[in-house]
Amino acid sequence: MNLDQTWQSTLNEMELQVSRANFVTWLKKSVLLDQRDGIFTVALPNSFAKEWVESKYAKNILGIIRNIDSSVKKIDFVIAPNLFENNNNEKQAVKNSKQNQIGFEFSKIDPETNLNPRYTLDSFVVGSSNELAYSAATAIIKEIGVKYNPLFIYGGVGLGKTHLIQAIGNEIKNNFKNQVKVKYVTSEKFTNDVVTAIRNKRMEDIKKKYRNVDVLIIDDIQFIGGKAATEEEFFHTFNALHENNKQIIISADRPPQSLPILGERLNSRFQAGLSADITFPEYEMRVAIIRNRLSENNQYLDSEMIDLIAQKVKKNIRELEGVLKQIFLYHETKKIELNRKNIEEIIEKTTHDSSSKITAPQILKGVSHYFNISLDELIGQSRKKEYVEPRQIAMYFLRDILNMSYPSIGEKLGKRDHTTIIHGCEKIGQEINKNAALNQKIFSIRETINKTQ
Amino acid sequence: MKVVILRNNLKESLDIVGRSIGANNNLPILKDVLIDVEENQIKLITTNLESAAIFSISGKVIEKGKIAVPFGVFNDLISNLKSERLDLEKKQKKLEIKTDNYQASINSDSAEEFPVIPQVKTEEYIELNSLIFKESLEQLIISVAEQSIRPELETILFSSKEDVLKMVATNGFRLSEKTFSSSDYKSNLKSELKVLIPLKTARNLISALKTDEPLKIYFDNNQVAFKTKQLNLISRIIEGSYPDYEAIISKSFTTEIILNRQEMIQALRVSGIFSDQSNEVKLKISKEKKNIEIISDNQIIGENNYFIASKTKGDSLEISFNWQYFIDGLKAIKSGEEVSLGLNGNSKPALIKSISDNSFIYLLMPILK
Repeated sequence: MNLDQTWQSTLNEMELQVSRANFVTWLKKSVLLDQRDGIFTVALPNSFAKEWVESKYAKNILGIIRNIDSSVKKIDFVIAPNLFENNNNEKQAVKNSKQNQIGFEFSKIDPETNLNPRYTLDSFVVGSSNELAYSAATAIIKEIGVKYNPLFIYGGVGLGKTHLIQAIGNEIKNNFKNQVKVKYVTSEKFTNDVVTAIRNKRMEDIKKKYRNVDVLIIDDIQFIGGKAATEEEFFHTFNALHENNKQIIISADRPPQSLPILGERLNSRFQAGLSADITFPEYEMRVAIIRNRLSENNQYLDSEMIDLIAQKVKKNIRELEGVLKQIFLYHETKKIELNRKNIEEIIEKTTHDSSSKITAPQILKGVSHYFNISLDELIGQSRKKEYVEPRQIAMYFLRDILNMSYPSIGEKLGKRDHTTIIHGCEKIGQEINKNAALNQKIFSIRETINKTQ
Repeated sequence: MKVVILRNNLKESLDIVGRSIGANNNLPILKDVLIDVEENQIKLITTNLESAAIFSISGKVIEKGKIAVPFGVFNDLISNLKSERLDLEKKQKKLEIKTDNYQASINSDSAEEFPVIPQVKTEEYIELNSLIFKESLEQLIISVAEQSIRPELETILFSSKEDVLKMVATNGFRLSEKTFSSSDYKSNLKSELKVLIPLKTARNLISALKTDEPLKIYFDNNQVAFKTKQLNLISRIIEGSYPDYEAIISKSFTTEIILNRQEMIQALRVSGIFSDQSNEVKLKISKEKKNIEIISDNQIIGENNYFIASKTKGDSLEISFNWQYFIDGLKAIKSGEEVSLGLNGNSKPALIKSISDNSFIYLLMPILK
């Protein structure tokens, strides 16, 4: 017998034992929520019901259930008002006959969970570049905390990590009608909260905030690295949640092995979970994403133009959205027909803009920052492997982004011979086509470079 | 159960607990008031299963016991008796009431059938002055949504963060916010608090709090208890997340006007006579002038213009409001002669407050042209 059937039988029996008035008032709204290790958990809508049922009916109920399922040892009564929501849909909002009265623009982001309702699973386009991550997401929604815990999603910037992990949060939140506590936080916010808590001596607040949850989603965890107090707090939070089978979902721009903060102490716990990467979308998926965005915004472009955009905008989804926005902005403001030529121009301008302001020192700084080595080590003479790879990547970027000549790159990178530079650029160029992991790294580093001052 | 009590004490307590009587038709005993007498305490208890009121009155206990008496009959009777002293005695399932020249016997119910009142299980509380709290509730209640698709707006938010206690109410187009600084209240809360109290509970409190005395508010996961010397009002709290209201409270304004509060109330009331269905009045604010103009017109009735003295700083503009909602806010600002009206253009919220008291602010959205 499943939980519902067991409880229905129990209620049928109770109906015979108590007065009609009492049955309707105290027992009609009740649900057998869970059964684990002989402890049956019954949910009731409010404290009054809990007090009454617990003090007057607990013994009877225990006896009745024992006849159905002899494994029962104890009954726990809990209060869960949300399970018994009076259909608020029936309530009509008082017709505001004062039609011109405008309302406040409250932000749509739920302040409790920090989730943005526009990130849903439905609006997430799935393709070969992200289907592993997507199936992991749907799997954990069905078995929260026990299936893949932690779930680690990594990939370059603008590929949909935040969308996916927030969508998991929204799905869980909606499915369980707020009964399951979800919290989304960026590692930047987490870090700020830790710092504030330490300063004001309110560590209890932080613990309560991040440990009294059933699902914790942390975005861009690579930014926590290097801050001792935050790493410490994260470590303890992680453990506290994991030990209690609370679901943890993490996103980063690189795999867990490349994150020192996670690697050492939490490595073993990560083995029990699942890491899934999201790589950049291939052509078909880019087309699908464009079509999806167009239909969401009630906009239209013909197939030829969609094809053009998908061909030219390859980097990431955010760029794709940016280009679409620019195209329609242009169309609206200039009121000109869209054609191949002007779309190409817009794409060129939009995708070029982000690279135009980058300088050579910025690239060198970005690369050394990413690999956690010093600028001296990057351009230095050491042939140690840990410096060679970053150095070659720096060469690749100086060529790819700034189109510098080989000799000038040689100058910048420790007065090296231009042949060394050619070799380095070619090596990386070839590796990228063969090695998806390296490709991923390149995109992450590019983002780091963009963020470097 | 046998007690001797003063009629006035009994009447006062019935008035207070009467507001928590249930209208639940499934359980008739909810229409009763439970008289619960212990060694040296007499309590009257009522509940509607969402909130409960427990009121202690003084009296002489001759014998302890409990009985649930139909409130309507009992209240009617006590209201109309003139004697000072009353003897109450439980005789099986009846309550006998005796005075020096009167005797009655009311058919009652067994206390066993009366709901068990859940206690708030916590030692964490906030303590404030009853009357100050009551006044704050009155200022907030004007902005609570009476009926809304969003049930969390039919509440008053209690929020305590880093030693600042705030109470907030909004219905989506107006908002009241009351701030208590750490000198106004005491508390032993160990962590942040964010709790939604139902509108009905707030109303009950406004009518129940009459004495200048401390009020302690206890919060646990599902309930809140308001305790004074005699009263213990227990209410459920509403589940849900309150909108992020802090973001819409502006710290700076492109236009700031100072007005005399009473004058403005009068000006709006007069202008209201000539406004249309939507209660719209238009304010014409000019940075050169030392007054603002209030304009209203109605196709059928006529039109009027009212000039009210003001000190204006910032940009000129024209903005329309619902005059009734505006007056509500002005009236809620109980203190001070002058109020400031802060504006950021004619489609963003207006912030109204007393210039001498920042603890209460009222936000009102304009009417769109």
